[in-house]
Amino acid sequence: MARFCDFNVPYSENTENLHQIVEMAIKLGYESVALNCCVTPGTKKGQAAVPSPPKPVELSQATLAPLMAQRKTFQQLTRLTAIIETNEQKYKLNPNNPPVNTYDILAVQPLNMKMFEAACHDLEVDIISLDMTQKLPFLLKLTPIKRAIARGIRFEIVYAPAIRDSTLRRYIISNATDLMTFCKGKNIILSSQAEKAIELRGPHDVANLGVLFGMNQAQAKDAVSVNCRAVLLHAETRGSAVGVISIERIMKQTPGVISVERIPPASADKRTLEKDSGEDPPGKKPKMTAQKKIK
Amino acid sequence: MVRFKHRYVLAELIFGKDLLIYNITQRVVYAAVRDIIEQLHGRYGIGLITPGLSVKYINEYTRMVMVRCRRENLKLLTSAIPFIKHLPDGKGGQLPCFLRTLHVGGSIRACQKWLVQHNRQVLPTLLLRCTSKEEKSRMRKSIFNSTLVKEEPWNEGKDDT
Repeated sequence: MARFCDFNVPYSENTENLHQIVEMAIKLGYESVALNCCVTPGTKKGQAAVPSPPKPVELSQATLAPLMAQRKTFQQLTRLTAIIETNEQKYKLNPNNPPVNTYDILAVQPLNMKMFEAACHDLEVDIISLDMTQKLPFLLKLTPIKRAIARGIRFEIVYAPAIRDSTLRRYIISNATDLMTFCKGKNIILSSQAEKAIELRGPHDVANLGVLFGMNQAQAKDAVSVNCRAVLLHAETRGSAVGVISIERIMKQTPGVISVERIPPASADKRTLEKDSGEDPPGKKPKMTAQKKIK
Repeated sequence: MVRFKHRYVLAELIFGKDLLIYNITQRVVYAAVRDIIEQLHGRYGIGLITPGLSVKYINEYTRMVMVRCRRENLKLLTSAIPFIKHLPDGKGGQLPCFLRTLHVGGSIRACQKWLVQHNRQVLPTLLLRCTSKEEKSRMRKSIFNSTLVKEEPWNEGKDDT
């Protein structure tokens, strides 16, 4: 069974609160958590459009022990959510720019129809997040959503505001069911956006919430496990050429184990890329492992 | 013959503050579940869920709750449970708290069986709370002894030693 993920833990400077949230996530059975940086690119002149990714939360051995007992590992990722409204902001989100390509997951939150269509059709992102706590500023349409699904982009539904307040709950349920009529329950991820540890819910409870949003039981469970994994794989392919070839620098560290470092395609020479493609047999999957053993 | 098929939802109470014991009774949990279903599903939901809804078991120490409902209305219950965010603490205040669904079973017996297994798995984490070496060895010994028991402790007629 795929591991349970929560891809929206808002990153804040308040480390104690963040620590509590991550600890609670471990306690509830999540194995993967993404720290989310929410930005509006290009608001101030001269400032970097996107901040550098947050550092992972340091966890003590005692909190990780229940996971270790079941031979599981805990994974902390970084995620960038850009709120885009104009074309200018859209271009700042080029995935080859240095601060952007260091994030593990890339998400956008379009504020108008034009940007939503752009995000569905040609933006290189993994997640499209819509602010569901109010009436959506545009009508959802089938064509762009179909295109987004074909490109493997996931839509995000956030559940913590629904727990916080009953008015927000009403909006979230109506918007989520609206989205569900187009997606038919597929290509959806459910994540928390919890500001406090007490707002998190266990993965099975979140799946039950998904049922409330109009998915069936299997789809709701996929929304917290399988689809999240798909998002990660989609993010991996962004760093490779057409999702088939990726370039890795091999360094020898310890005898018997080669550690591998990924190079983003922007910095790689085009010629080496072609040379590599010649060597690789067709249909070979991209190397996604971090460590490999010598035969 | 079984007339009414039921479903039993086994859930763990998780509190915001870490206390040793909480003053939570079956009635409090029942009222909270009823309230939240009325909030979420309205009068129709509360009408459907009321026959058959009851809190069958509560453990203040391990913080386990078992809620029963009719099989047809299980979705009403499971979709409402995540929205519980606090319980009254008996002194007029509210305790921030939520329920984490662990298991859904068809009989009390099945849920108990699952719970025993779950508790056995959780036992080793108690070792982390031990401070001294002596305490640790004593704890390890008692865990070892308790996990050796193979008979089902709730089986009547067959008393375990």
